[in-house]
Amino acid sequence: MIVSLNEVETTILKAARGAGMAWGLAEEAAQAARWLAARRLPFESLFVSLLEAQSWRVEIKFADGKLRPGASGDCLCPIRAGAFLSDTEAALPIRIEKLSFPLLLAPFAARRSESIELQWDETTLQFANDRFRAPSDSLPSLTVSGAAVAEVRTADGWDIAANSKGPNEGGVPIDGAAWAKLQTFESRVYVPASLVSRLSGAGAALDDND
Amino acid sequence: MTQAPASAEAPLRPADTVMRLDRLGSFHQTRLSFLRSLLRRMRAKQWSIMRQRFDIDAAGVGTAIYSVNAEGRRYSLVAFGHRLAPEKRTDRVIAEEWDATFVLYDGAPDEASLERLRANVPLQEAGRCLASELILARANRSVRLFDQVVAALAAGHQPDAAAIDATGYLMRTTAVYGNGKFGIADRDLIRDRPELNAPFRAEMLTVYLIRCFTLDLVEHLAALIGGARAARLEATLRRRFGVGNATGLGMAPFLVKHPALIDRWISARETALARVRSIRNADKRSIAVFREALARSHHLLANWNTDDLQQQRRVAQLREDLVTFERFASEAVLSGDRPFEALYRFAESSLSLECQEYAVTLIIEPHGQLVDGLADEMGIEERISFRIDGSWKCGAVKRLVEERYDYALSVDFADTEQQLARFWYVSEEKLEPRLGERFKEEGAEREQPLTIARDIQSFIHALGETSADTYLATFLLARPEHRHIARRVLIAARHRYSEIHDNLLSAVMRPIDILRCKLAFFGATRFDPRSDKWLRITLFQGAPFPDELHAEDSELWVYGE
Repeated sequence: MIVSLNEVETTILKAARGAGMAWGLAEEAAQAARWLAARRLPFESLFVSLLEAQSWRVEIKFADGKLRPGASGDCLCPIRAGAFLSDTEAALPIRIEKLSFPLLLAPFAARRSESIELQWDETTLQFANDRFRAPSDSLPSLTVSGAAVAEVRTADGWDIAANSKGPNEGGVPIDGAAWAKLQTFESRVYVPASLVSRLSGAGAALDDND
Repeated sequence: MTQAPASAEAPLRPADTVMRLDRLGSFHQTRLSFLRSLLRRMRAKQWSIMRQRFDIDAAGVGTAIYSVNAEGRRYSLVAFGHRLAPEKRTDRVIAEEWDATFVLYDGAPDEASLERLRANVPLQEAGRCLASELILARANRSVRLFDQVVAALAAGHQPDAAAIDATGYLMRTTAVYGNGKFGIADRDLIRDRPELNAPFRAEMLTVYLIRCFTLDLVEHLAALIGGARAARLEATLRRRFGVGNATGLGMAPFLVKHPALIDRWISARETALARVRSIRNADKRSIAVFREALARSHHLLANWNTDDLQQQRRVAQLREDLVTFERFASEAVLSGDRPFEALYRFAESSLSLECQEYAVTLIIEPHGQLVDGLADEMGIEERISFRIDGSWKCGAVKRLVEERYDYALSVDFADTEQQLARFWYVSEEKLEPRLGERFKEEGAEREQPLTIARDIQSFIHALGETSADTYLATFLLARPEHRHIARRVLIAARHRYSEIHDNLLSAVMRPIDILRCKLAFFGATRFDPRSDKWLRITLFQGAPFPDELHAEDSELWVYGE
């Protein structure tokens, strides 16, 4: 199936909310998904796993340039960590311990005004001016479910024009099975009809054959 | 132009005056309304519109295509006519079939594309479209008038002018979808196209073309029935038909969910008003245009029909107030110092809200040179205001909330019956926004975030418990539940008209006030509430058709005969 970027955004917004995320974070999740989808990066399965794991409930502490979970053993939510990364003017580098679904941090790193590198394990992504580049042979590692440590740092001295990608226009082919799971989460924001709501929810029914 | 240049602009009206629901719900179309800026652009840039295909049978079933050449780019309205059983004809979103369905196609569809469109467009929400489709829409006949017009023309007569005025349109659209819905193109795709990137311009173009289709359709059906005897509509009668539109709650949350955009719309209108109020002396031409718009308004208001009792009273008061306003607008006032300021002051102090806002429309009308450029500033890249600047300190954010959200802080939520009476939700059945009664219906835990006033109160409470020196980024890291409202507050810091200054959960809130505000920006006339949750309107009534557009520089058609 092919969907529009707006459908990606609204589906993730409602799915994240349906899974229990606060509205403000769900909006961040939706924008992040749109950013990834516009660059044809994988997002559907990552979001399904994130919404199942509910990791945004994990408390996050920031001190000494490090984001870490409030309790040991927990994994950090990339949306909640990413939102902080986008908000804060704290100096880089910032290290993020036990980050789940590290690719989901990329859209937030890309919002920073300076040229940025996001690195976890053997993977490094670079961002500047709304463009990004990834090592072409590392796509499988983009979908890893967690990283021991990720780091966001300034990246100087690379040529963004070389092998980098900007956003695409037009529809996005999506993974139908994952999309269906997202729609299950999405349905949790909908209110089922009742007799009362059918009668009053959108205004009285009148004869429209006039 | 002999008009004295505007001196320092009068101050903009305060947000707490403008953004009240009762005033927003009294707005009327202006020069800056989207359908009027579309027609100005079409004329200025020499757009051409051609009927390319019209294969419709006597039952109204078939395909028609209109092609538009807009500044070197081609767009096509593809219309599908259907046979619709009367029991299936409903304006509401629960409908599954319509008299006609439409798509605005980016380019000229080939036969294969046309087949794909024919398989999907008639299904509307249940079909799938692609990024080559910009707008998806449907319309139903206004049965009585439609049949009457076809019958008259088929018999070789002109239809009754009074009957046309009483309804105002042959078909009404019941949804006009844009921006990526059901697979169609995202707005990003047209963002860099100067001919189409103004707010809702592609939607307005679609509706304008639908109007052309409805008039061609009645003439075509009359010719099929009446043969050589059939008449064509006289040009002056033809102009009296607009397109109807039925709008429900689905549109209401838009104004709340796009705060920075709404600020651009309201700011443009308020800036236009301020500029006009600052004019020291009116020239003869603007006085004449003002007088003509005012005189013609009596006709427009005479044909503003509604079954809604409250709106009937408001329209009756408006007609009366307009007479008072006209009496005040004497030669002495108009040739005096700051005439439009005097007119506005009089309206503000002596007339109903409906008429105050009608006065805004009238005094802006003669001043195209001064205000039309503002229509180009009504869009905004919303992504820019999405990012939260976490370098704000919590103390400063708290002061900002106190300054900007007085109306929200003063709501007494202890009075739950009144102030928390409603909740906004999305229905599972049609995936459309709805309004529920919190204490009578299930589902409030799935409420949409239109809870601004309530969220502001809990935000300021939390800020009060936080050290004033804490960065907002740090606060939100620990308290993500305030993130949504924090974003709105920072948008409000830069956009004075971003928020509706009323509690949207209140028992006395009228959703049609929100709808009317948006529809006035579209350029709608003849607001006809069908309940407090949906209404019908007319668009493009009196507007020139494509073949008339280029010869006509007056825009006073909008005020009627």
